[in-house]
This record gives sequence, C-alpha cells and structure tokens, in this order.
Amino acid sequence: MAGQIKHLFVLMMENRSFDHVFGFMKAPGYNIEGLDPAALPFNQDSLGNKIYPTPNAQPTGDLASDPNHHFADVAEQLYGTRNPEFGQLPNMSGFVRNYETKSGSAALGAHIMKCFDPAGLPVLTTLARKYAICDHWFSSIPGPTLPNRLYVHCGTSRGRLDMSPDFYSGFYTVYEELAQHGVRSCIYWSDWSGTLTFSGLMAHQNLFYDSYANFAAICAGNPDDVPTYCFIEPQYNPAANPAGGTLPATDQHPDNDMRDGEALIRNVYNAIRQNDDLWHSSVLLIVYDEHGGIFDHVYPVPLPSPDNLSSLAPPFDFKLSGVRVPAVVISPYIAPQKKICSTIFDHTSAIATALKLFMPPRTWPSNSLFARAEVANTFDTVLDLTLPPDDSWPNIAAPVYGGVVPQLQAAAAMAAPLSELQQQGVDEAKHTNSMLPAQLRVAVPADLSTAAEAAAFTQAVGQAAVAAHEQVKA
Amino acid sequence: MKSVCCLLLLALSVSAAHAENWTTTKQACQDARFFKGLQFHNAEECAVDFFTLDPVGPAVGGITTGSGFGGGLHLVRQPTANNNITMKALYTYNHSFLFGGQYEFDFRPPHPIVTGRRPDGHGGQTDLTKGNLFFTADHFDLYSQDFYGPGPNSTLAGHAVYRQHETWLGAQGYSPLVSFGRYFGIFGVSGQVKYLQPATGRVNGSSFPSVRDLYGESGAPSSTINPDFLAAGFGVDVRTPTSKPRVWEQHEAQATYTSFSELGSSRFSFQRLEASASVAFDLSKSLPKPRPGASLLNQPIRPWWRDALCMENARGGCDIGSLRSTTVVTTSYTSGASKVPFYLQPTLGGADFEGLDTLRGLVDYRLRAPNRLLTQVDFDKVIANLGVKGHPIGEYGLYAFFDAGNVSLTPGQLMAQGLRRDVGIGGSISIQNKIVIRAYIGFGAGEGSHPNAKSFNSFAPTPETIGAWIP
Repeated sequence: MAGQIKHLFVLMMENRSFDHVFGFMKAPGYNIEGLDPAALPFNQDSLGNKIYPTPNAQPTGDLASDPNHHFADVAEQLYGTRNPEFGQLPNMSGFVRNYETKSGSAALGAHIMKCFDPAGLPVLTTLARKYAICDHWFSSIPGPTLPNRLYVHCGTSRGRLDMSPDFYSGFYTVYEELAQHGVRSCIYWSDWSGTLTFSGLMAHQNLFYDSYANFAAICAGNPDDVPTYCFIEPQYNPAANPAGGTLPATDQHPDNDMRDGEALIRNVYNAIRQNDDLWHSSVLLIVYDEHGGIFDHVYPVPLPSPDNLSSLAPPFDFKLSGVRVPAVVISPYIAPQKKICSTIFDHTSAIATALKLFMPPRTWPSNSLFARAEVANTFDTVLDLTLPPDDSWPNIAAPVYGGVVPQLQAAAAMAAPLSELQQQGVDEAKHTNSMLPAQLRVAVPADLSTAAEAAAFTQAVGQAAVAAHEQVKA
Repeated sequence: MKSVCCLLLLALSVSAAHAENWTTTKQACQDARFFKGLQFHNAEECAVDFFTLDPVGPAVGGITTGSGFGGGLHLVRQPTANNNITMKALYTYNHSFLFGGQYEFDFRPPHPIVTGRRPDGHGGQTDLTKGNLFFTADHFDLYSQDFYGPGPNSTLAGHAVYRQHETWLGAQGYSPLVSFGRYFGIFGVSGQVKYLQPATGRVNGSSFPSVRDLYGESGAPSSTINPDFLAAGFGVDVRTPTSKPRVWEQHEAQATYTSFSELGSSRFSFQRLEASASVAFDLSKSLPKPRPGASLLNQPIRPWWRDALCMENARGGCDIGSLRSTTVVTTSYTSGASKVPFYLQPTLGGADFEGLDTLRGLVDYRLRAPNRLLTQVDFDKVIANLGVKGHPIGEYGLYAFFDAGNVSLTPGQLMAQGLRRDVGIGGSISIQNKIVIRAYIGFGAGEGSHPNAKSFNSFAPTPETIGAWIP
C-alpha cells in the first residue's frame, strides 16, 4: 500500500461540527450517523422551549457573535453545566443555553442548532458522497483552536487547554519526525500558520514552508517534486491583494462565509485531481479543527492521554475527545464498502496515517509523537489499492453568492475575553508546575493578580515544562 | 526619510491584518518583556498588537516623500467582515500633518472567476479576490516640498520649495471581472471620482526661494492661483491569478485614464493616460536529492556562503533570487492654453508623491514634467535567516536595482533627450516572505549618491500607510 500512496494532503478548516455540516445528509440508503428527521435531538432554551436542529443554516450571518468554545463552555455544551460531576456522562444538552449567554437572546441562541441543507454546501457534500465520509472523527480535546491544532502537528498539547501566545515553543512535530527519515513535508500557508512559531520547524524553515499561492502550480508539475506530506492552512483573515481587491478569509470560522471555504476546498481538490499522475498516488483529508461551539448530537469518546499530563484548573486528564467534526477522505481508491467510515478518529490519526504510510518499515508504530498517535486509528483503511483508480470527476457546482446583503450582515470574528484566558492560563500553569520534577518547579508568586505577573509566571512554567519534556524524550 | 530607527520601522511594518484590544496587547507585551533567551516572536506580537490597537491606537509613518517621519493616532472599526472604517491623524517632525477618514466596502465580482480548467472543462482554480470601494476624506499640510524646475533640463541649482496643503474627498474602486486564461490572468476594472481643493504657498524660514517667486506661472503653472478640481477616471488591468499558474512568474499590466477638470474655468484642466507593466521571475535551481531515507535535518551543514548563493527551499531546490522589471509611462494632454499644475505633474527622483520608487540615484522630485517614462529592474536575493537558530523571524536579503527614465514637456518628446540612468545596491529584511524594510544607496545618475530606507506595511488589510491616502 505504501508503495502506491506517495502523497498525503491534509486541509484543516475551522470550527464547524459534524451535524452542522453533514447532519442532514442522512437519508434512506445513506445511513451516516447524522440527524434522523423522525427522531431529532433537541436542546432546551432558557424559557424551556425545545430547540431542534433545522436545515436552514446560512453561509454567513447566523453566528455573528462567535460561539464560545473554550473548555468551560464546551463543558456546558456537553453536560448542561460548567461544572459536571466526576463520572457524569455528557448529554449534549447545553449548546443553546451557552450560545444564549454569548449572543444575548434566546432567539439568537437557537441559531446554534442550525444545520446546513446539503444543497447549501455543494462542494463538501459532493465530495463526501463521492469519496469517504468519516462520521466519527472527533476533535482531539473539548476546547479551542490552538490545542486542537497542536494535536494534528504534535500529537499533544502538553497539558494545555488555552490559547496563550507562547504556546508553541519547543514542540516536536510530525514534520520533523518525517524529515528524520528522509520524508519531505511542507506546510502551505496564506496569511498565517500557527506552526510558524514552532522553534524546531523554524530552525529549518526553508525545508518546511511554502506559499499556498504556489500550491496549484506545484501540483500541476512533476509529482516527484510534490512533498510527501502536505498540510494546507486556509486564509484566516481578509487581506488586501497587492494587485487590487481583497482576499476573503477561507477558514469557515464563524462568521466567515462558508462559500469562500467551499471554494478553497474545491481549489485544493482540483489542484490534485487535475494532474492524473499525482491523483493516482494521493490521499486528501479534509477535516475541521474543532466544533466551534456548534451543536452535535454524538457524545465525545474516551481516548488515551498522549503524555499523562493533566490540567488541574479546569480539571481535565486529556482522556476524552472533543466534539465530532466533519471529515472527508478523498482518493481514487476508496473501497465501496468504506464510503461511510465509522471508525473513531481524532487529529492524531492524521499523524498516525502519515507515519504508517511513509516511515521506513519497523519504525512505526512508535511513541515519537506520544501515546495517542501511537495507537490512533489510521484512515488508510478506507482505501482498497487493488482497485483500478476511480477517475470519474464529480460535477461540483460553484458557490452562488447572490446579493451583498448577507455579506453586510457578516460580523468579524470576535476575540475571546482575555481576562478569562489569563486566569485560565494561571490555573493551568499552577497545575503543570505542580507536576514538574521538583528541581524544575517555578516558585509561585504571592500576587498573581496583574497581567504582567500572570504572564511572567505562565511563561516561566511553560519553559520549565518544555525543559522537562525534552528531558523525558531524551 | 533618510534615516529612521530600524526598530520603529520594523514595528510599523509588521502591523498585521488583525486589530487587538488593549488587554490582549498588554498580555503579549508582558510575555515579550519576560522572555528568556531570544524569542523574537513575542516581541513581534507585541509590536503587531500595539500598532493595530482596536479601536484607538498609535499611527506612525510619513505622509509623503519629504514630509518627514511622525506619529499620531488611528481609529479602526470593522463592523462586518466586508467593511471597515479607519481614521487617522498624524504630525511629523518637520511640521507636516494629515487627518482624515476612510470607509472600505468589499464586494463580490459579478461572476465566479475560474482559471486553468483542463481542456475537458474540468478542474480550474476559483479566484476569490473581491472587489472593493474606498470612500476617503482627507486634509493634509506638507510644510516643505522640493521643486527643481520644469522639464528634463532642470538643474540642482534651480532648487525651490513650496508648501502644499490640500483637502480632498472621493471614491475609488476595483473589481475583477473575468479570466483571460491561464497565462494572461485576471482582467479587472477600476474607477475613481475625486474632488480636490489644493493650494500651494511659500515656506516660512526656508533658505531656498519659493516656487512662486522663482518660477511664477510660466515655469510652475498654478503656483500663484489655487483652483479646485474634479478628477474622474477609469482603468483596466490584467494580473496573475491568486493561485499562480507558474511558481516562477508573476505579472501585472494596468492602463488608466483620468480627466482633471478645473472648476470655474479650464486654465488648468488636463487629461492623463498612464500605463504600467511589471513582470517578476523567481530564479531557482534543483539541489541533489539526499540519499533515500537519510535525515533531511542532519544533512551536512551547508556553509553560509552556499545558502547565501542559493537559499534552500521546500521544493527540493534552492532560490537564487527574484528579478522584477517595471515600466511606467505617464502622459498628459491639455487643450488650448491650459496647463498642468506643477504639483499634479509626475516626478522622477527618489520616490514620487505616492511613495513609489523612481530614479533612486537622484534626490526626491528631482525631475518634474507633465510626461514621464520610467523603467526599473530590481533584484532581491535572500542570503540568510534572520535571528538565531530555533528563533528566526525572517530573512536578510541583498538588493540591487537599475533605473532609467526621463520627463518631458510634451508626450512626443519623451525619448528625445535619452534616458537618465542609475544603479543601486542595498539590503532588505523580510518577515513571512514579505519585504518589510529596504535600505539602499542609489548612484550613477551624475548627481552623487543617495542613501534611502523604506518600510513596507505588507501585513495591513487596507491601505495603512498614510501616503496611500493622498490622491
């Protein structure tokens, strides 16, 4: 198998849940774990009304106030309370109430249950039906973007749940692991990549980074010149095009326009599909980093802790997945019986699959990227390489934008309240600090009430934790 | 303009596409303050956040060529993803100032634009570039600007100065329309309408004579009379799609027509045609492939001079450098006895009124006339990573250029006296593949050498530089 698949592409989008994107694709003869119109789940709002999922989500405008998706908010979404009892099972009951608080009204709170009519996302739904949809792909932790993205790059967030800016220093990545064995990988980025702060990658930045503007041209060339493992970043912010006009954000983070992300997905697919030689040796994974606070009805699943690091406040042992997210595996060799794949995956499955496909014999599985990636299910199981390649090309409708009014309604994504983050960071730092070897522990200042003091403390603990981990790895 | 604090320039240059509130900024800067070892990223974040403070924050920079460096405040509001409001006030060390506001609205082109389909109609890349509309109201006062006389035969001895202040308001827009194919790229249209109320005068305390005293109306039209103008125009352009069809090439061509109508009479009415074309080539070569299975990280360390000659890239090769050629032709047409106001004439020498580099071996505004021809070749080459191993934030580069051009009083005389030429060398700093600082020395034009330093606000979502606001 490894001899035929020479390229793995991973496109990671932002902040949408599986039900929100694919839930209403469930139909007789297409039995995904979606939303059954005859038995729809519901949440209750603050007035006691039952709010059901509805297939009327708009490409932009529904979630003008960015839904909460930090750890405590996700806890409320999963359990109906921000402080669940030990051993309490999630019931996915708190999405509406949580978004009521954020959006400021019960009417807007109901928007969190809105899902897409499959016709509203022609690119994603066409590709999902044509190739393999994974209906049990979970985000790696019940929390926000950065720690979840750490799992796809590094296999762990090292006990962190927050969005602190010093987050990435010192992490070891799948790209370095592949490079150690002579396998080329590349991160294609537009306006930003969080990996640009990974010190290990930046030490070899010329090996690992290229502009997404070059992606289509590279795919059109000699497949031997295309890196083996390619991670593609969407555009996160609108930006001026130097030649005129404005480039939109394509990450699909609420409330960015879903159609711009659909166009990006189509462009990536077309770039690979357009070169038959490349297409015949490639797998493309489209996956979302986390649910972004949007409703899903499937409970998270137990997963192994990658490194036994825990968070004390909020308490979390990293043995539970986050909420389910959309994922599609695209290849000319999809096994017909695997077009709906219900195997449990999380973001470490991308690492596991890359290492399984491309590492030399007997070097995989290994714990080089921690325990969760070592045992994660790999999605190459949806392939049947004995099949002739499927070269039929689905007719994917172009996004229809219509008038300008929906765009005027689209609000810019709001930043999470920093004071909450800072406190979260301090609590986590205290916990991480308590787990460090005694000689590396940082003295906890008596006063941690100001941002300056908090930042100094969390930074010091972070550096100590890095040092501790490097000792463990060595 | 000549020399400013590099750190300040860096801070200005990394103004990012996002705006941050004070709390976030404070945290980032505290992180930076408490770093141990070299962690430039946090310092960079602090600077980025500081210069994009939402809603009110600092503004730094110059207004236009020769206005000096200064500071002030900005206000940014982005009510939706597709429109934003920016206001700025800036005062420079040589007593120039600007204040104004701008509203930007982004919109979709009328039809999806797809490039690079296969012959069977499949595939292609949808270009996502949106059109935009800017509405701007602005007032600036430039305390002292230079003038060396009209036409190509002016001399340094003819140096005079003038004060220019102006109020203007207007709208300008751009929209991509259709693909002209994989190799030509995207065809788009632009347009503008502006009302200008310019005025010029003497400079108090200057050792140089004023323009109106030395040249009068015959040598410097409109130097003693201050009419208002209505400018209206349109343009077309072709440019490389956002998804480049070729890794190694990028191009752009534009043509614009603008009519400047003096309000009240037509003594200073004129039409302007401007055409420009640029093409850039990234030069690279393949590197020998490492032995299969051998670590890519532990290859024999390339000596610094090998990377300096050819910087390794992610495509299994190395980059030799980037070559860019630009040509601009500006012509002006009048009817009857009307003349082009001297302050609306294009210039060559240093950078022009809009901040664009021209003949860099001459002083700013050295040549001025209604018509201009300029061709430039620039070579950029990355020679080393910036920072220390494990904590780089960008790249150092070498820079070399060749300029040739001239001005003329009539369009037909543009080539009559040949072209003035210069060359130059310098260095640059790039962050995230975008040049943010360039310093160079230009010479060879027969009037000495001229050092210069420029910063580029490469990360801003809208025209963040003050200079981009002037008409």
